[in-house]
Amino acid sequence: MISQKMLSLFLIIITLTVNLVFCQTIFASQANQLQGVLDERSDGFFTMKKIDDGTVIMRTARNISVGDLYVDQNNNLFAVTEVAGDTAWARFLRNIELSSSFHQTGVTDISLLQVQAGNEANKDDNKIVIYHTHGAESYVPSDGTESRLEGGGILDVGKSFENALRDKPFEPIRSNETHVPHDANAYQRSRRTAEELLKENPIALFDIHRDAVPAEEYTETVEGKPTVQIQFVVGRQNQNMAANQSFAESLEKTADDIYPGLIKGIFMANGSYNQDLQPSSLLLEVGSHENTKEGAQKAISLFADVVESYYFGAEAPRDSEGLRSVALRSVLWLVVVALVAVGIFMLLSTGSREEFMYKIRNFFRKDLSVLGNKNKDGDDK
Amino acid sequence: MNIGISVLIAVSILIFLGFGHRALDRLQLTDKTALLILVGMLVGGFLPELSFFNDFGINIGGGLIPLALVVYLLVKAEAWERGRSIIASLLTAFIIYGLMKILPVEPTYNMALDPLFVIALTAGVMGYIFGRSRRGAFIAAVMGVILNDIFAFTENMAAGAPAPIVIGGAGVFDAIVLAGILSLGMVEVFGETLERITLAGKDRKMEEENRNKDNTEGDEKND
Repeated sequence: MISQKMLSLFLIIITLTVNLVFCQTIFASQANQLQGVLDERSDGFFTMKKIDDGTVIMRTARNISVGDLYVDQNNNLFAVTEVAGDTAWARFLRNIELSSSFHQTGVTDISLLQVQAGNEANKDDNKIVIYHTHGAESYVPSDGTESRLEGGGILDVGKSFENALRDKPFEPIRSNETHVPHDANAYQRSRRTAEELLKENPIALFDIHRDAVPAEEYTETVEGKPTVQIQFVVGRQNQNMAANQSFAESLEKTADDIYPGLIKGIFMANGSYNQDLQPSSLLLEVGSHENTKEGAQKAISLFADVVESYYFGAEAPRDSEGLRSVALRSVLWLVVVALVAVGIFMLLSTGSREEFMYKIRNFFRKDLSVLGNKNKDGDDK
Repeated sequence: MNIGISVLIAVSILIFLGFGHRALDRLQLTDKTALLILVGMLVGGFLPELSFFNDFGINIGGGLIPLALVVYLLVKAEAWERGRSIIASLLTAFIIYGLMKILPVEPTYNMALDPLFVIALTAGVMGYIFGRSRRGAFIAAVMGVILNDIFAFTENMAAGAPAPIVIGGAGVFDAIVLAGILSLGMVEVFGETLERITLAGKDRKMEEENRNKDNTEGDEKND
């Protein structure tokens, strides 16, 4: 028996792991204190650069990790391969054809047009959820502060989005919850808001935020005027990532058609952002804390036009074959991951082929019994 | 809704419920009881929440049923396990509260550690260290999240910015349930690894057979 030594070793590993987590978090805390803010870096920001020539791809106050993906304004897809200090080095993968996912359908199918017209007539079928995980976020030039506990300027941006959608064939449902205190549990609290609003069976969910980089990073000329830009954030750590990415790409394509430059890009970043709750969920960064709130409100109103065009425009409906195949691929991926997880655990817990097979048989026998097909005699032959 | 999206949602929910059922099954509940509780959480999540004060409520599926399960487990536990589980719950709540304050607000800062995993990991480790049991971990995880909700509510009141809170508001998909299930999974992996290390194959096989026999008898008694 190696119990005592191995047990001690195991406990030491656990202790070290816990200490490591604490060290990491304490380090992060100190970094935050130096920066003087909770979720933004006022001392600077992360810059994503092309690994080939050092060209700046984008800047954001969000952390950039190896493995993150970014689709820029010109639909170039980059993958982050290295992060050194505040610089993330990304490799150009390819120029993606956004139309490949949703835009191939067109309007050739008259039945689809009829469905479209029917949907447009009934706003209740087109509910869109708007909420704010960080409801305290504000815009310094307009609000005088970057964060307001009782409700920041970001709520006004959400209100503008709601008003703009209400003038269109949508039924917006907006939450004014701030989900304070402004800590790492905010997404856990906003999860409840999102789940509550999901009961309304919406067609899309938008979590409205703002970034924390210099204003020019989120400023672009749209229709001849300086306009605040919007960036999509897609969480990588959930089963809906592919579907949400397709949703974001399609919206960007639509925006490129009607308001070129309005969408800054799509950032596929670490985290879930409650996007596991439903496909067609996106986090929007509407400008930065240094942009004006009025500019952000104007931008989100333009985005409402994009949403309308996406669902009811000349090329709509866009969510047919492309979305279906993306979603079904996600289903396959999900099932495979689940099977692998179960397999690894069972191998770990059994250690022998005989016991593994016994557990498999036992699993089916017991589960069938739960479903009401149990052999009352307990005979498992 | 697109058929692909519908299938994706359905499969996600089924897999989650499947894992949830297997996890609850480890709380010395029968298969049927575990299934009943899971269905209760699912259905209860869609029922109106119970409101106590103006801004404070509890969801039946995501808050009340997990809380009731914790109370049931505490009542059924032996005195030593009950005491350790309560200590683990309090410690988990305080550690989570501290971690949520010092962890960066955005998940993008935390590498692979989404706050939800931090909660489950903390509860799993604390529950296992103090209770050396799956039930201890589950109790610590559920109570850790619930107590943190109460802390947050109190903090907002003290700050003069009251914000409504519904404990377990996301129903079966709430952090309370997810943390409980994840912590059970973690302890299961820890536990199985430890057992693999410390028990000789033969002894372990006998123990496994005895456990399966007990489970089967338990199921038949409940038929």
